[in-house]
Amino acid sequence: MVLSTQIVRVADGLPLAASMDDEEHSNGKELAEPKNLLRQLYKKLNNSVDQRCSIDTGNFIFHYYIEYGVCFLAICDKQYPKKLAFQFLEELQKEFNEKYGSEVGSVARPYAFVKFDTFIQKTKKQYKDTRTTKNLNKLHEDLRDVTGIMTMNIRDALVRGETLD
Amino acid sequence: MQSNYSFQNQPSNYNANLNVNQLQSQNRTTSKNPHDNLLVSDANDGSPNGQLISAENHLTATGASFNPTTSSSNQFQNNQQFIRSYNPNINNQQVGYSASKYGTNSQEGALQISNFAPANSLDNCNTSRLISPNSQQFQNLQGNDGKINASSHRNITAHVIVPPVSRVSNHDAVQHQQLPVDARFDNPPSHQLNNFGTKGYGYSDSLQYQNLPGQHSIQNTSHLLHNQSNENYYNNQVHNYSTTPNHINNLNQNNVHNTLVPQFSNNQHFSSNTQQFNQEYNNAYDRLNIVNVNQISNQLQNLAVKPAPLFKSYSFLSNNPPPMDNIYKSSEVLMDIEVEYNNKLKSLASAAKSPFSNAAECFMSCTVNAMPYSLKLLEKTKIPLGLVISPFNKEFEEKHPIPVINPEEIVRCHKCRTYINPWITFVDQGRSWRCNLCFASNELPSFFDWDSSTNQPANRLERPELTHGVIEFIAPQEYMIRPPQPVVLLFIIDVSLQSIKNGMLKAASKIIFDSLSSIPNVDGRTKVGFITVDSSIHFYNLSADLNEPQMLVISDIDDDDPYLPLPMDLLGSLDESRSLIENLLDKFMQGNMFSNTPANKNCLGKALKFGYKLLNSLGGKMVVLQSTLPNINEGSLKTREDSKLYGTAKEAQLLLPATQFYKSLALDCSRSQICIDLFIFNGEYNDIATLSSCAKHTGGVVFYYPYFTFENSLDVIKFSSEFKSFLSDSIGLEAVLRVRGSRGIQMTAYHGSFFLRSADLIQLPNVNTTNAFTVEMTLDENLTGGMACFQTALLHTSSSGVERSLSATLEDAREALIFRLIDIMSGYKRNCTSQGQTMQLLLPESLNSLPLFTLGILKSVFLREAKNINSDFRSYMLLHNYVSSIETNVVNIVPKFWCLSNIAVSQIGEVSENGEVKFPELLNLSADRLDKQGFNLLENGFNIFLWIGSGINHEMCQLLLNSDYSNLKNGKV
Repeated sequence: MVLSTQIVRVADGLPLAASMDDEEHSNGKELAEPKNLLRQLYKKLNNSVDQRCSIDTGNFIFHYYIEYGVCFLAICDKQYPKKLAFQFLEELQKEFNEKYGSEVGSVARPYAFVKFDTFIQKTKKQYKDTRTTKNLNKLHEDLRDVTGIMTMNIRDALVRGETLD
Repeated sequence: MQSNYSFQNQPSNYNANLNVNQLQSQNRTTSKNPHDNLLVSDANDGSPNGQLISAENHLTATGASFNPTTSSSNQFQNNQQFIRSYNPNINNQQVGYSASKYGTNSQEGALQISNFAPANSLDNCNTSRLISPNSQQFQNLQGNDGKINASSHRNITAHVIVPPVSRVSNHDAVQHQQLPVDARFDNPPSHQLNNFGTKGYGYSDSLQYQNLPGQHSIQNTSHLLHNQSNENYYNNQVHNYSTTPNHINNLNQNNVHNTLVPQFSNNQHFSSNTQQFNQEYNNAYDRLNIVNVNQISNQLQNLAVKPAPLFKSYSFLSNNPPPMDNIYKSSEVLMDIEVEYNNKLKSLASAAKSPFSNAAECFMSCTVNAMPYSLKLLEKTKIPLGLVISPFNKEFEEKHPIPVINPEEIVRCHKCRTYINPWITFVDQGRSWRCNLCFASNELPSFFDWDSSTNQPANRLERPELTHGVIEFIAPQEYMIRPPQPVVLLFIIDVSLQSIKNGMLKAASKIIFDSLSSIPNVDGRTKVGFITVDSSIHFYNLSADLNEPQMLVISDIDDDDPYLPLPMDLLGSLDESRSLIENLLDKFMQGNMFSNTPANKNCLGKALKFGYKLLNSLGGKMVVLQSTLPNINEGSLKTREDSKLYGTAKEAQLLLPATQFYKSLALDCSRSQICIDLFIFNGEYNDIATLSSCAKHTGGVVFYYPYFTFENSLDVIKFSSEFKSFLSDSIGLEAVLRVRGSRGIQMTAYHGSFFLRSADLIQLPNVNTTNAFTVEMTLDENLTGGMACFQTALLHTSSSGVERSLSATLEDAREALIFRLIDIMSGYKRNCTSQGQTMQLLLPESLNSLPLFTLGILKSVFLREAKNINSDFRSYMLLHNYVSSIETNVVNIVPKFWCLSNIAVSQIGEVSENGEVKFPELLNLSADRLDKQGFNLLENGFNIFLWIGSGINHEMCQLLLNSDYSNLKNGKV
């Protein structure tokens, strides 16, 4: 399932919104480590060429989706279907772009759109159970093909771009 | 309904002679007739035109003999049955929401007033003036108290303490002149008293910030004190009080002593006195910096500061006008003058010389106006070195908005992490800045001189960081460990039989219902949840998908590892689940939900554990509304109250927590950013001493409504107004606070409602506008650099501990207070006066209120020696005093007292230019100031008391109160 969601401006890694992680078994301690990795990762986002990517950290998997300079990232269980995760992120992206797309470039303070959390929570709930008919249908849709999305190791992701220098 | 109330100790029933025509004649001699009516009423309507309403006796308390151990003062104590209820919104307009309601042991249950002392006590009183314990009393003090070394203190025969005159010299600090000492006690051994003495508004800089919804910010407060580099610690007021025996005579006879307080403009007067003073000073110290007072006053004139109320010269003990105004210095006046001073002074020492360079005193104030430069000097003065910090001040912020900035980079000292502030100095041709605390040199970022957004040169001296003492930075992400916390309110409501009977459930639900729209909810993320508790625990599913709330009951509460019946939906979004929340509250109000509730059983301890579990990942506030003593399962408490212990050494035991359960729970909560606030409605014993530790370690507050009943509209109004403002106040969340001081200053202890996370980092799950913190300090090396600075940084999310125990007995605390006072006085005497002067001790302005405050504290509810104060009430007042701001405490300790006959009829209700009702002059808190022919009004921040003299004009009485004097009813109105 989706454990945590973060929305970040790609240009400078400024966090725009995030979920409050109130899932019962995703207590803060468990997620502290992957979140630290994320901070480093955000600095590398500019170098990313992929619009969609999955990053394996061992215990968790990060899925991200970049659109209009905004990165939508979900920390998920490794068992959680990739297909659902990306649909979840796309749904967030649409809503976010509609509501705040125009302001993204101008904000200066972190978490300026934290109120988007309410929407994240609601959507997350819908995607929680992979066996509901709705979600099964989504899984079986052929419209989106996620097999082409690259999965890379976190270490590779963090050194990305440096080798070029 | 109407009855005459006679004093308990007074067997005779004497009917007052009413002399109709003597309303204005001030018959000050103490009457043997104690039979005056005391009318207590409530001012919860705000009484905008100064209608007199409600009252309490504090007069005898504070006007009594200075020595608390004498028999005369015992008499007072017998007569002080005091009650106060808590009103957190104390300000000039709102004071006294409620009258008291507090059953006293020997009186019929509903009587809710305090008595005035009987006549014989008044007689005793008569010999002592407040603020001016005469020499006889000081000697009593020494004589009766074996512990004081008579020989070493013999010379403190004390006396008229000089009235406050001016603050001018504070501002000369910049020019290395002497500063007056500001004395404020704050560390008697058993608990903290953080508000003593007059405050100077010398150098305050600092800042604060607005509540921007849902954002993290750092509040950075720096406070500057001038550091005396010589030993002139006590600067004296430069006026001379003649010390001839005349004074004493006058004193003892009657109130006609006019202290010679020179007008400030009178240079002549000053200079001569100054010389004399300096001579004395010379004797006392090797190194001496002569104060040129002429210069001070000239400077004052140059500054053209309107001396307004503070410089008023008045006679101290004469009938009119009295000096009390100074004690309360309304914050408004204070701020105005402060700003004005700063304006004019342009704080020469600050980088940008901005008028706002120093934080206003309402944010931060120090116990001294001039910093001693060495530990030796500090010890000589005997004055505790401390700093009182109130991070929020609504009133001030409204008048002087605090700049909120979001710079490219928050500039801090690389060595001590101090934030850049107006008191740094530029070095190295301006390329670097020198930290004013540790003196390390730091590089100055280029954006101080170049505005990259406009590509124009910028003036660094216009940057808010360098011009404002109080400033708010928007915290960049490095300062945040997680997204800003939403506002989460979890109500834990007692629904045992008692709560249903006294109507607390009904009242609370109604108020929550009415307040739903005013709960801070700027970004729509606010969540609300409810847990109700009796012998079992009930949860409510508030999922927005439901049509109406579901109740989930956990009756098997013995499980050690509590699990939540429904992890997701116990907290409902205030926006989306609004109708469910309203529906639920509606059901609570109807009251049939818990009609089968078992007798008074309550498992609050367990409920708090559940609450902790529920809020663990988010953080938030638990609002506990409690009518019964928690008596089953974890954290159950027993009635420890034993009235036989009152007034004995063992009484202190009752004020200590009975169990550590609540404290350890509170520490867990603090770590998870959970704050616990308590509202206690019990008429019976509720062990506030134990329960309050929940609030104390989590930055919470405690409200106490003894004998609350729904039928009593006053109770409901008081609760309602307090609870409503509690719910709607903006709050700072998940805050940490750190105080930094100049090199050489060592923070030794922190006091207040919080948890100390590391040696110097105060953790506050919740910062509210009422709480204050006190830091004790010492010096570990000599101060250099000419000034001492303090900076407070508060990192918090806006919405819109130290273990201390009362190990000593109350008696120890009282003694410690007196000793400390004597220490300070003798320190002053020894160091600052000439050896030959033995008759009287003349105190400087900055010290002269100290005896009064000491007396006030000795007579206060939390420390008074008495056999009739129940331990809940004492605990509550102790805690209140411990965490309140200076402004709140001052009025509580030294109440305001007016005689309403002193105002001309034409002026009644008159409104001054600034929109406030004009009051008569404040009077000294001395029993002989009670006007037997008139109305006397006393206000202490909790209650307003109206005391009607037996000699009241019948017509007047009829006219104003629509009742004959003999038919007036005592008690709460």
